[in-house]
Amino acid sequence: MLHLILFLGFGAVCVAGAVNLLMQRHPINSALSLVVVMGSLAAEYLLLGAEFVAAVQVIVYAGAVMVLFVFVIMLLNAGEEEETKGSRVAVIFGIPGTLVGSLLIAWVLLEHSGTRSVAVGALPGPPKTIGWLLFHDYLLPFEVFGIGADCHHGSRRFGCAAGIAQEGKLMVPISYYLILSGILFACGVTGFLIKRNIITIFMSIELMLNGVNLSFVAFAAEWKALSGQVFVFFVMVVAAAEAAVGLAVIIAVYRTRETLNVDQVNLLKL
Amino acid sequence: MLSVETFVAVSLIKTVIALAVLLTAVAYTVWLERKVVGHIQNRWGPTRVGPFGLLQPLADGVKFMFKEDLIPPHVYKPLFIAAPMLAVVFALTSIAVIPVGNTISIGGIQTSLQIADVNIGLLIVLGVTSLGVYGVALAGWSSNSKYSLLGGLRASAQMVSYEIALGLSLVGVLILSGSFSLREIVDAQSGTYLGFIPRWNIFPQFIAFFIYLMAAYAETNRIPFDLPEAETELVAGYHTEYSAMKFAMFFMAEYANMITVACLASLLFLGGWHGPLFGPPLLQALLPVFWFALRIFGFLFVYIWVRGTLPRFRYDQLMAFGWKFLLPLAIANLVVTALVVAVRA
Repeated sequence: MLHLILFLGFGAVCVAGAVNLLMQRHPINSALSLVVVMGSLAAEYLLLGAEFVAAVQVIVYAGAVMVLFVFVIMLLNAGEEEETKGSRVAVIFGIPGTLVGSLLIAWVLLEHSGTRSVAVGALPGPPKTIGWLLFHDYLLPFEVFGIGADCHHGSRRFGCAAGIAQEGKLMVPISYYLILSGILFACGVTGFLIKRNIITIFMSIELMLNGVNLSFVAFAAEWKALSGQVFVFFVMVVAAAEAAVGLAVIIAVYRTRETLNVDQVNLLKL
Repeated sequence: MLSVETFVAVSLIKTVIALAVLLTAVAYTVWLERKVVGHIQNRWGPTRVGPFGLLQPLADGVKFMFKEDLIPPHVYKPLFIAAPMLAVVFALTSIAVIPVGNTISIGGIQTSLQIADVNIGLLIVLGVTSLGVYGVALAGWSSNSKYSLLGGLRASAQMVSYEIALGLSLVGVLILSGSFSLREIVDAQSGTYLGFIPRWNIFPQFIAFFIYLMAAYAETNRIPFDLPEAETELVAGYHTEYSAMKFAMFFMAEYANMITVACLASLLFLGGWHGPLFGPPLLQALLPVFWFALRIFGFLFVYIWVRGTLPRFRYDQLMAFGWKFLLPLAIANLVVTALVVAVRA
C-alpha cells in the first residue's frame, strides 16, 4: 500500500513535470520542469532498490546535465516561443501521431510484461556490486564508452553496502512502472515533434532517455538482473556527453544565425 | 528495532534539533567571521551588542526581518522569489546524513546521532551540493540585470567545475574506507599508527585533503575564489538585486554550505568524532560530539583566516586552476591510491 502511494505520488510529479515541459513556452520553465522530472525519477529508482543509480541520476543528470542546459539558456537569453506556421503544422500532425505511437508502445509493453509485481527495493543495486559488474562482465563496453566520454572516474567508487532487499507486502505491478515510462517517452516524442525551439527539442530527447532508463531499472527489478541497472549508466554517459556536445553546437548555431527556431535553421546557407 | 511510530518521532526530534543547531551555528559563524577578520585587520569587530558582540547575529536577524523587501519591476518574479528558497533548502538538506557521534541510548531507545544512516550518504551530500548550483544560477538570471547575470553565470560555471575536483578528491578516501556510508568511513579511521598517530585519512591522503580544501573554497564561493560576488568586480554578483530576507537566505545558504563542507572534511579526513573519552557514561556519550564540533570549528577558522589573508583569483586563472591543475592532481592521487591498495591486498 505504501509502495503504491509513494509510486503514484512520485509518478504524478513526474508526469506533471513532463506535461509542463510541453506546455511552457519559455525554455527556462521547460528546463526546470525537466529537473523536477529527473528528481522524481530518482525517487522511483529508490523505490525499486536502485540506490546507486538514483544517486548518480541526481548528481549527473539533475545536478550537471540540467545545470548545463540552464546555463546555456541563460547565456543565449533564449526568449519565448512564438506561434508560426511551422509550429501549427507540427501540432496538427505531431499530437495524433504521438498518441498512436504511445498506444502502440503501451500495448507491446503490457503484452510482454505479464502480471508480475515488484516489492519495494526489489533489486538492491549497491555501488560495490554495480562497480564489480562494470569492471568484470561489462569491462569492454565500459572502456569503450569511457574513452569516448571519460567517465572512468565516476565508476571507480567501490562502495561497500549491505543492501538488504525488503521483501514483503509492499508490491506494485511492474506494468505500472512501464506505463509511467511509456508516458514519459510519449511526452518526449511529442515535445520533439511540436516544439520549435532547439533547446526545448533537446530537452525532449533527454526526457525520452529518462523514460527508457526507468524501463531498464523496472525490468532489472522484475527479472532480478543487475545488468539493467548497469545499462542505465551507459545511457546516462551517452546522454551527458551528447548534451555537452549538442549544446556547444547550439551555441555556435545561435552565434551565426541569431535564432533558436528550427524552422529558420533549415538551410546550409546563412 | 524500533516501531514505526517511535522511529518517526525520534527522527522528527533529531531533525528539529539538527536544524536548530545548524541555524544557530550559521548565525555564529557570521559572528566568528566578523571577529576574526576584524582582528586580522587590526580592529575589533562587533563589540557593542552584548558581551564581545555575541548578540550581533540576533540584531542582524531583526534587521533583515524589518528591512524593506524590494522586488524590482524588471525581474522574472517566480524564479526571483524561488531562487533564495532553493539555495537555502539545498544548503540545509545535507545535514540529514551527517553523523555527529556514536550510537547513544536514551531511556531504552537506541538511536544513532544521525538523522538518516544511508549507505550512500556521501553520494547524497555530493548530489545536494550539485543541486545547490540552481539557486545561484536562477538568481542571477531572473534578476534581469547585467551584474547579476554575469555573476550568476560565473558562479555556476565555477561551482560546476570545482565539483569534479571535489568529488575526485574524495574517491581516494572511499578506496581506503570501502564504503559510501559516512559512519563507516569514520569507523575506518579508528585506531592509531605506531601507537600514537591517529589513523586519520589526512595522513595517507594529504594531497586529497588539500585538493578538497581548495575545491571547497571554490564551491562555497569564498576567497580566494569569490570573484562572482566580489564588490569591486560585479557589485554583488548574483544577489545584487536582492534585499532583506531574500538576501539573508542567500547569506545563510553560503554559511550553511561552509558548515556542511567543514563537517564532511572532519568526517572524511580528520577522524570524525574520535578523541579521548573519559568520565561518566553521559559525558562519554557527549564527548564525541564535542570533538566533532572542535574539528568543525578549526576548519571554519582556517576558512576565515584564508578569507582575511589572500587576494582573489581572476576568473580565467580560477578556471584554469580548477581544470588544469586540481583535476589532473586529483586523478593522479586516485591512481596512486588505487595502485597502493591493490598492491597491498
